[in-house]
Amino acid sequence: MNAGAQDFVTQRDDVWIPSTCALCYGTCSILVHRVDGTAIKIEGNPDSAVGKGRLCGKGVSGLMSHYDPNRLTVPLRRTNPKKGIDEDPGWREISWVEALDEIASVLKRVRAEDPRKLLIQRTTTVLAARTPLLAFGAAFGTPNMSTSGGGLHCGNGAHLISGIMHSSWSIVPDFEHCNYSIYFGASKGHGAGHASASNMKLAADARTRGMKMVVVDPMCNYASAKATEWVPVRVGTDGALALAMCNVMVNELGIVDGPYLQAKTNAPYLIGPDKLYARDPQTNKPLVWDASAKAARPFTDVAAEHMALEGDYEANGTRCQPAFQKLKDHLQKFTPEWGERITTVSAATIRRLGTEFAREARIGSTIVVQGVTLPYRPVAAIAFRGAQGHMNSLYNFLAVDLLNHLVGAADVVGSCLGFNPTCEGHPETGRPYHVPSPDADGIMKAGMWMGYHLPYPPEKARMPDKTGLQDVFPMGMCSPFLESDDQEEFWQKFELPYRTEVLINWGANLLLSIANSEAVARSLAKFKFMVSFDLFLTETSNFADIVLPDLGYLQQLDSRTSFPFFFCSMPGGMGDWSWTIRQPVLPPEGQQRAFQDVLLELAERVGFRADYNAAFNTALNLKPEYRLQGDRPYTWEQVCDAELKSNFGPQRDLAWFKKKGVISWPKKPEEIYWRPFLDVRVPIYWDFLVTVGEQTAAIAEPRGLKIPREYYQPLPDFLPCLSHCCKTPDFDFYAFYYRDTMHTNSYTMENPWLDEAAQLDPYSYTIAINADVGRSKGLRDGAPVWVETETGRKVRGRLKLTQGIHPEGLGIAACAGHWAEGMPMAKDKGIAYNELLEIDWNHVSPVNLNLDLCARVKVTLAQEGLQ
Amino acid sequence: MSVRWDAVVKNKAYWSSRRAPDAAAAGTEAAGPGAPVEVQVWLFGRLAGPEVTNPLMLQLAAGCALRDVIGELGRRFGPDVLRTLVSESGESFNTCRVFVNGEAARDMATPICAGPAAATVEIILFREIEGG
Repeated sequence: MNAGAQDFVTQRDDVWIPSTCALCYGTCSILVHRVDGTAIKIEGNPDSAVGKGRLCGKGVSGLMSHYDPNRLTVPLRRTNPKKGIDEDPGWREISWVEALDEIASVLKRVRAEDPRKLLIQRTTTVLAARTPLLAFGAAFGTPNMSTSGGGLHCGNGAHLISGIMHSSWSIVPDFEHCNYSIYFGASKGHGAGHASASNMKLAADARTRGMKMVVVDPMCNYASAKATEWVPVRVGTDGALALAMCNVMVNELGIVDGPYLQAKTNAPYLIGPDKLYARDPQTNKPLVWDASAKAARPFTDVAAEHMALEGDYEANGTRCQPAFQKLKDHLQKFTPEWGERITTVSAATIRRLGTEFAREARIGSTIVVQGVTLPYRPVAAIAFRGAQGHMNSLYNFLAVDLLNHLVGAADVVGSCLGFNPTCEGHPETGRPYHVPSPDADGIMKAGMWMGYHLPYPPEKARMPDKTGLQDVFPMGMCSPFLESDDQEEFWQKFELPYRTEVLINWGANLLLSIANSEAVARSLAKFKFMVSFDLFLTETSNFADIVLPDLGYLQQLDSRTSFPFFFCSMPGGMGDWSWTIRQPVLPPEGQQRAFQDVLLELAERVGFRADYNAAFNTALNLKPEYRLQGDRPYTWEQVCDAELKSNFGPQRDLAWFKKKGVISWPKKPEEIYWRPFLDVRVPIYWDFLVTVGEQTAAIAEPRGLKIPREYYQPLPDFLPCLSHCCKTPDFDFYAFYYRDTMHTNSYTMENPWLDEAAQLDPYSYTIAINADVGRSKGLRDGAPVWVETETGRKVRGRLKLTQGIHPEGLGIAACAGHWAEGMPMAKDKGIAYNELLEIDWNHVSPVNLNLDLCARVKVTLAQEGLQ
Repeated sequence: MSVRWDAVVKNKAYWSSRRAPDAAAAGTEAAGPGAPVEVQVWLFGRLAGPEVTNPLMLQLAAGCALRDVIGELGRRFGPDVLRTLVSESGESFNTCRVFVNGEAARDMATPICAGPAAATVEIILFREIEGG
């Protein structure tokens, strides 16, 4: 029971309050039923497009997270200077004044010395927390910000390529019109995050309508179980399957959408022997072969229909080929028979899938949506964490997306959609507004982004300013070097002129969510000072010097919980735009404070309030009349009020939004099916990657780091993970983890309702292997086992034998295995898969720095007596 | 019926006819023809190091654009600062946000126009990481 609740209301109340869930980054709109100061029920808000009135099991369980008696309610100061997994921090309760005095003193010193010494980490679970933390970092002057395991595990490939090819954070089938979807290690519409509840309804309706859904996955779980067909694949080989399907379509069937490739991709651009665009000497524009004039001409001077896609030509005195010809030749080696050897999927199945995808695309067809005639391509190939969480992250994801682009199934009706790359804004204000645009080569630049820089064009590689070294590896988004075993070696190698000393952590539990806890613990212990805003004393907060009790999502205020629209809350396809807010339903308990107000106070104490105001003006893109002024003090409520009025007019202020919770307006076909309306092209041939590789090598190789050029080629390939190369006897399983739909990252493990449900689920807290394989090894269902990697990393758990997993696969639901006393419900539940993961240069993609998330393991029986 | 993909849509110029509401526009009133432009530059965050006293006052030639302001900052603070602001081509800024007279500027060609008061240019580095 929330003791403070009675103070929040002065008279009997019985109200439904509109707000926003924060149990995953799907950020569904909710209605919270509060009676006499106590929240008694949470439901979806039907007035919002975000969730569409639906809510998952996590969302309805939020009450239990809020009323958890283990919530932090007072600031804590560490008394034990030693930091380690087994060290007792010796917490002492302190006042806010004492806490902020010390934090401000440290920050003031560091900012004066070198602001880059501050690192800000945050969890990805709460999207809206991004803005105040991002603005704080920019105002403070540090380039070092990260999102724990979020980007390292799922972002560096999926988000980068979705950004380059769809101007969006992620991709999804156009459920309303799609007839054939193929998922590669993705669960859109069947799991947490990514417009979770909205997509569940859309996906279910699509399946009912008859959409065929093929799921390529080592395990038959959330998406596969609902699929028309499950295609078990060897772990980490999704890209090989996609490449073989591409080959079937291009070279065996000859089915491609030529007009799309001519008009909307760089397929006709002529490629020289240096693997780069042949360019017009006068204008520097990429050349195409004008089949009508029989001459090489700048792409801007030739009608798309006259651009040659195939053939050999001469331009600037050298032999050139269109990028599509390069792709066509390149694909020939990926025969279905080759694909079968790599993926274990039969050549016949690969041919069938490629044929079905190509034929279902209905190339050349059109459809009318709300009176607008549009291209109709009712197929979509979708990928996410499973496909891209490997050494071959970039090519794996790109290979899958090529399926879409070969048949023109990109951001048109029925196809693979970015969600949501363009928005014309509210009809009365034109805000928010974002739309992709072409660069000088005609290639698409995202209309809005959240990464280190726009996904395209890449920054030029240069000596590092950031501890993550993304300056050296410009295709990387999140970086392993914040925690890796070899971080110091790399910082010295690249002459990083400083070291981070202070960590501000907002709700991230790095010890659970990145890789083996030994490595992460070593990196955390190096910080001279660490502050953690948190709800519970997590494993990571136990490394902090000061822990600050934060508000939970039923107590918080946020003015942009569904924005950016191209992120993962707003569903794709037609319907409504909905701008939503989160508002306090319940009061702070004890000494809990809103972290946003704490950051505002810290900026004032440290002396950069004017910078923080300017950073908010920028991050919120406030109109001139609503910009925060000079170094004037503002509360978080005032900042939120300014943003809402800036976007929706003075009459729709914070008070208006607190009453309504959401403002919605209809999407237009030109926004959702935007690609025909924009003169932008996307690269099926990544000439820029060659350049990036050479730039990175020019920095790295003189310093003794070989850059493997095979990862920096313009066309995707299949490059094996280390696990594929393991020949050690008895290491005969490919271990992988999957997102349990019951949970979000590690946080929800503490929720008792979800824990109870997870205990009823045969898989949530167990280790799944194939039943036939298990029995052949003498392993029985429920047996306690050790799972061990070649490097000796081990986890222990109970087996679950199932037919729903590839014979070589070993599946564990992430991200369990808590040990902190501050999360007693989560403690000792499930298996900490990430303990099996190494984190160093040898285990990341050398191009986008994505962590390799699979491991070759052996399974041995353990002693009984396991909890 | 098979229709060319690029021949389906009637209004291909749909988006080009729309203007971002936050795109920086010319100042309210241009100064007299040929008169130099007073520019007040505010640098925030990392750019506002100890050597910077906000605001910096620049006087630039009439008809100047944002690239002239950035160029002048590069001359004053050195190439390292310039590299943090603009891409290699020098024509776009991918990691910082620039406001001209309170409106977000999209590119280096954004005109700088002062009215009775000096034009204001505000610059802050925004280098972010996301995941999920």
